[in-house]
Amino acid sequence: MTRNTTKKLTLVAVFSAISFALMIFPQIAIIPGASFLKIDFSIVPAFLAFSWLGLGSAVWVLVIRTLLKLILFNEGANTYIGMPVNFVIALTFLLVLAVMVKVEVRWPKWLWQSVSAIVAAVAMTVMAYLVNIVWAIPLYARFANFDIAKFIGIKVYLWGMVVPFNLLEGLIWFIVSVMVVAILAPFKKSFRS
Amino acid sequence: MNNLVIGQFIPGKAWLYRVDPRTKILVTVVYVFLLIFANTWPAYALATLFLALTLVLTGQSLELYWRGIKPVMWLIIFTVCLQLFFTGGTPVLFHWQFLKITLPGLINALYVVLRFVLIVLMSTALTLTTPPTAIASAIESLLKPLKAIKVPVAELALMLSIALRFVPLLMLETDKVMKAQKSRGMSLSTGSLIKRSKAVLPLLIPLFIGALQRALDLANAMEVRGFESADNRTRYRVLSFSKQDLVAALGTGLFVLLFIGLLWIN
Repeated sequence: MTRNTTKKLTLVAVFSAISFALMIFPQIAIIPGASFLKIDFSIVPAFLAFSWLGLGSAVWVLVIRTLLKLILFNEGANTYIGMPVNFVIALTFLLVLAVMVKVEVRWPKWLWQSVSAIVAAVAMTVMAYLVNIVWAIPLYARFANFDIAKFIGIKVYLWGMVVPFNLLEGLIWFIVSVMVVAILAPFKKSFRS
Repeated sequence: MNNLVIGQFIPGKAWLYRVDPRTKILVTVVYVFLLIFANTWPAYALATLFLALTLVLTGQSLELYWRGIKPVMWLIIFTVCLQLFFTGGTPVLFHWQFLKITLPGLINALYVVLRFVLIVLMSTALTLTTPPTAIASAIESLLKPLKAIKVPVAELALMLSIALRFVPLLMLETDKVMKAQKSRGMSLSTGSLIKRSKAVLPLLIPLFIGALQRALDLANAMEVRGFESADNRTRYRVLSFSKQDLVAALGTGLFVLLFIGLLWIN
């Protein structure tokens, strides 16, 4: 194992721990009337791992963060139903970004980054929509006594909450992550020696 | 957050400390899985009894477990309110304007509270009595079959064990940085969305810088101690099943049978 691999291992581990801490605290509610839909910034460490170490490391951060949540902060049915949704959405976001950065275009960097952010946000919204229909809504109703169709109505929930929330979340994730990556750029060198 | 029990291991000598971490993880998974299907009072009573026995066997004070419940209290209250006020049915126990409390709603709300509390306490009992390194070793051992499909289980376990060690430290650090930024006027609950998102940056940057330094120090420490590969690591503490594990397995088996029996009778 090379020296860089050891550093990579410890970095992924520490990014995963930060990601877990950010899953719990701090969170921002963005949709009025849906206080349970809160943005957490746990994607930022995964984005940093993606930017510094590559997509594989970012996926490891997501996997270990999920395991930490299962071990340390398990809320039962909510965790078992919510975590796969969270994982799939975050993974879609990163995968789409990974594809977008590989595409070579002659556009200005800021313009291509903006397009990438929008495409990633739309892709994760589509994924969130689908995962909610086939997984979260039926399972919450069955196992968590939380029948969204009864409480809010599926159409209102999906188009009034899930879609705007995920679009906004994707854009905010991207903006905050890019800013963090830019600010921490000088520290990247210390992990290359 | 200072009182957070999440991920904390508290050294002790009670019976549950001597049970193999693999057994404890499997018992927790089985318990949580079964609770998803609980829908009668006898089933909840049995699950509560099993948990009470588990907590006694940890030898820790109830006050400590109460601290484990506190972080999820808002979530419990929110879910209870939804169940209480928006579940239909008869008889109606209370009616005012658009708010209505029905008997099925009240029962659902109580079920939800119980389920939350039981699951969180069971997870807390696992982490309180098991060192993070033992949890990682147990997960590595339980995931060993995945090696057949080329999953780097040893590396995963090593990264998980490092992450588990860092979690309590980073939680405290997050709390400290948040308090420091709040004292400088940071607010995540007021202002426009952009303002609130920007307010996260002064929290994230110190957190990352501290953590990066730690990751670098740890990598250096591992290198100078001759760390070469996660696959070829030997262990100071080797996991082994004992008499306690047999007792735990039999006890859990009995609980599972009784639980399924109760669900079946219903």
